[in-house]
Amino acid sequence: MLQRKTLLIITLLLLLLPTALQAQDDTVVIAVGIEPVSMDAWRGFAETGGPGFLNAVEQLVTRDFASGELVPLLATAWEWIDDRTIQFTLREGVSFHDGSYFNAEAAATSINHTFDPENAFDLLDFVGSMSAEAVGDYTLNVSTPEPDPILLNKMYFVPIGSAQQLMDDPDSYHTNLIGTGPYRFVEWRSGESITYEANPDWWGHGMMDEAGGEVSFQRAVYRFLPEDQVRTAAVQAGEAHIAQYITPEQCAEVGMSDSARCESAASVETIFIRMDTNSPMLGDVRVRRALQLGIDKDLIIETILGGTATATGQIVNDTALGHSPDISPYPYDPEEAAALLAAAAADGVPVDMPITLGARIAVMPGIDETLQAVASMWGDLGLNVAVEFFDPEGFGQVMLVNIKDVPPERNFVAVHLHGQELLDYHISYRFYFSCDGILSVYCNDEAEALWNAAEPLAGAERDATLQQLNQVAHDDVAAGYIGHLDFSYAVSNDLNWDLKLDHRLQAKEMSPAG
Amino acid sequence: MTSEAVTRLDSASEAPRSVGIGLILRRLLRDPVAVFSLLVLTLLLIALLAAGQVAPYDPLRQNLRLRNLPPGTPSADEGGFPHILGTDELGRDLLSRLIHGARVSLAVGLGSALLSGTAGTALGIVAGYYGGRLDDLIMRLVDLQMSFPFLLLALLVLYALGPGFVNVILVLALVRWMVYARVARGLTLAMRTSPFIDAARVTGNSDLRIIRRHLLPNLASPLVILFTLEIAALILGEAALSYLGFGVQKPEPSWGLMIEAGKSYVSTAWWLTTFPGLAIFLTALSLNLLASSLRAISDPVQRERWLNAGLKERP
Amino acid sequence: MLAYLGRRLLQSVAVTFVVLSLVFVAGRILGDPVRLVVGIEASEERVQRVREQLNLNQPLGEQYATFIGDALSLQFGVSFWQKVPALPRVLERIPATLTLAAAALALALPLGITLGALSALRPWSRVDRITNVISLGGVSIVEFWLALMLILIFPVRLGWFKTSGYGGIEYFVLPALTLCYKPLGRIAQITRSALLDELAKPYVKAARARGLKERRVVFVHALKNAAVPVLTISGDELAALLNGAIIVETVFGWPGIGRLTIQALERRDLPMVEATVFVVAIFIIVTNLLVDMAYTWLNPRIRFSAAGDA
Repeated sequence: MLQRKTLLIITLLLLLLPTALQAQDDTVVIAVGIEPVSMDAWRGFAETGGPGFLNAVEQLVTRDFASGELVPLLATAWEWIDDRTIQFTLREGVSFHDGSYFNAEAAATSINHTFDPENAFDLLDFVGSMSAEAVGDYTLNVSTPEPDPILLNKMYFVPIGSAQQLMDDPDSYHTNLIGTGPYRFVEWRSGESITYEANPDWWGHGMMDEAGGEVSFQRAVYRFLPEDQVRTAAVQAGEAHIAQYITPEQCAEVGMSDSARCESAASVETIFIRMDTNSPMLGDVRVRRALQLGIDKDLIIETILGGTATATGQIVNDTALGHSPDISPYPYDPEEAAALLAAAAADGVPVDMPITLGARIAVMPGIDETLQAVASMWGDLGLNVAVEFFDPEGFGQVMLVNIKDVPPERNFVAVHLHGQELLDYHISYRFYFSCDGILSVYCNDEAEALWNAAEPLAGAERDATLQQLNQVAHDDVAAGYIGHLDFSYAVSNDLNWDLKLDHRLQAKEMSPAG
Repeated sequence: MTSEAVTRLDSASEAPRSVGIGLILRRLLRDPVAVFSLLVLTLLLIALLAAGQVAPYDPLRQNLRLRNLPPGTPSADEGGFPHILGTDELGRDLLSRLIHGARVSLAVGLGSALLSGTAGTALGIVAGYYGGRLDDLIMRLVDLQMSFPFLLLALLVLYALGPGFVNVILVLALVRWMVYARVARGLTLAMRTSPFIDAARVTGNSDLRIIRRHLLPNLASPLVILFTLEIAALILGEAALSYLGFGVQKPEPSWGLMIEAGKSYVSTAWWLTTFPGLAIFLTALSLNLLASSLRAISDPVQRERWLNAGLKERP
Repeated sequence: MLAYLGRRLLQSVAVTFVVLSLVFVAGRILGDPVRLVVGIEASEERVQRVREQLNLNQPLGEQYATFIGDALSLQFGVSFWQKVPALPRVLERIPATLTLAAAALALALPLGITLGALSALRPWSRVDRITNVISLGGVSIVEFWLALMLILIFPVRLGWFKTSGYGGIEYFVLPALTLCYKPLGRIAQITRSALLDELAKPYVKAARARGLKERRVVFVHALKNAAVPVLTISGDELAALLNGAIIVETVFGWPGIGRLTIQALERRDLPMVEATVFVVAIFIIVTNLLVDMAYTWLNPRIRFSAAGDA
């Protein structure tokens, strides 16, 4: 009896607990999937690696998604002074959160630290080498070792951190994010959250257009919730305003509620299919084409991906230089595919070789289903396909090989994502298709020549050459594609936020609704 | 003999009596719980032996237009068997996958539970019975095993032996032996100094005989119950390993893997995770009920209560 | 007793040492940590540079010597990934793990024993069968399923408690409930079977014959004698909880040690892995020692003799 009474009392007490409080008015709470590894300012180049970092650190230039142009932020003007150097005129009257002043000297120190080979930060691999030099109080030269027509694009990925911090307390660079932004970094609670608070001394107060937004909250909190279901639930329960990257099913569910909505936008990520083109089977272009014709892309996108992708036949989307409007995806045509395979088999191509179809676990929502669906569709063509999932390390071992080091009998096919943040086909080609590319299992001399020819070019000329290259790769089925991926968010109706193509979560672009 | 037993049962005498198999069977069949567990185990046996014949659909056949259909949806084909348990995230019939998955899941669960149970119990008894250095050594091995991260161990075995069905059983057994070892040791310690063991020792019984005749029977009941609990844990553990690239790979069905695959659909298609979860639960439940019934039959005093249990409740 | 404790302490140091050495070897066998640190698209020269920075270019013997020297002074080096000292980062996560483990066990232990005892009191009765289903539900339930169901029902539908996060009681309830169910089930099952064994023994008959109430016989006399396996299982469950409740921590965004361990392993962040294993090993060793000491308290006939009598 005693037990029962105790249980009853406990239950009653639990019932009496205050119900979940709504998130405070002066705080915006954002649920993100991945915790950053450290607070290094350079990690602000990607939202997944540095959630909310752009609240605290700013770049010299930013992108206006209405026009697609790069526009001033910490720099007010720039000009090319030779084919390797851009001269920036910097904004005056800007200070870092530690009280030090922002000027050309500070910007140069920060940029050079970010690209110092000794530091070996990821950003160096991502955008390549560059160096900066102060040539006046507010005049900064940034140059690259080789002529680089897309250097300005790259500056969009370079956040500027405090130079004073690097001088006084270099170790704190990994734990304390100090920049010039509208919110200052307050606290990183490992495994939990990052908190930012409004910066009253921000240069951009009252300059909404130039600064790209305004400060509407006292605090911005970025919480780490690895499960998409829970991120969505946090928005539904009123504990968070935004849930990053949710699935199509969750999107539909949120869409039916009164308190929240679902927002989606195209991203720079493309789902592509990389084939070992040196195997006796996949080396044959007819087999590669048959594999593409054998995938019902539209069905996969419509069902598994819930419509959150656009079918494609190329690795970059239409925001990138080198995107070709003339390339349309290979259609779903199993009869034609079977005919091509039969023709190849008649010529002695071993079309019965076992294919390993692999992917990294959790690389995107629905990867498990997508991989199995592709395997099943290829199985219907009579091919011998086995599915395999890898952890990040294991995937690195099978993915990170150049064609020269791939044994011809491997016959491995990977479904993976490529992010073309730099919006330039030349870069994408280097990684995945050039003869020496570190992730390339493809080599085509005709294409390689075009790729080399495009390197020093800029503008329309570059675009035309890259489009030509893109077409050659398409005709030779250098890789297969499923689609360009969209990303979705659950957004509380308490919040005004308009989602941009860069998928950055910047508090200055958010405000309370109503 | 059977009729004799029945008359004795009717007399409901308190003294322990000898019982025949016939009575036990009859009693088992009168007990709805026992019937239920026997039924579940029979169904599992059928699934194990004749999955191909009883499953209404090919467990690997996808149909993306029919994904995540709720339980009871009629077949898309004219006159086809309805999807009693619905379809999964790739439009495959869930019931058929469950039937085919039984083979892998039961083999992994039973195999690794037997392996870890035998090794763990033996080590635990040795540690508890002999004590001293041997006890120290075995128990520090337990400490070591418990402190070493499971994932790292799994990766090591994967690296050394390669993925595969047998290696899954091996890894899981390697990870769980210490549960039995600790329980067996604890009980042995408590019994080692009891008068009846002392007496057995004084009368010149060998250690092996003492362990077999006097210790083991007293350890049996908690260890058998532990065994049934471990089976459920190990079937679930298999899912974690598959996720790392061990053993069963998609699209092959196993219960653990099916649950893992349904993870993203918990709020939109509950049946993907619920039915395989229920299958694991029912397996554990039936084995557990059967084990405790058999335990009751083998123990004279418990048998008495068990035989009388159903009767007392009736008016 | 003191001699015994001293010996256990020495052995524990040895165990910790062996565990760390194994982790060291395992970590270096399994793939190349550098590749994970620098990411998939890094150039070969950068890989070399990072390898030097992390001292991974030295011979293995030398690396091991450095590692042992550092470990002796409780230095596990700087995390490959986070570039901060590893041990403090691990210690930061301890309170969250400890409080959750304590809450889960504080729920599971009394409830599990009560359920088990209720079953044993009237074996094969209706109560017994219901408790059996409840406790077996605990051992076969899929944790993330239970966690997500609780989240969808309580915070989302009813507005009770928090979906996730770390903080006061309203953050605590759901993770603790999720986490306690499995140990509860196991403890209840083991209690029931141990009690049934105990109740079949002559002294219980004698107690009954003396006219003691059944409840008193069960809860006072038999329960104490049946405690050894229950204690062992509880110790195991506590150890598992201290190892970090990876799934519960991931679902609820709980900043415990389990997720840190997984992240460190996935990234082959060896200093971090070594630091977490070190801390967990100490917890496990202490738990097991306490369980052993509780044996002698429960049953004074159990003595842990000095080494060498075997």
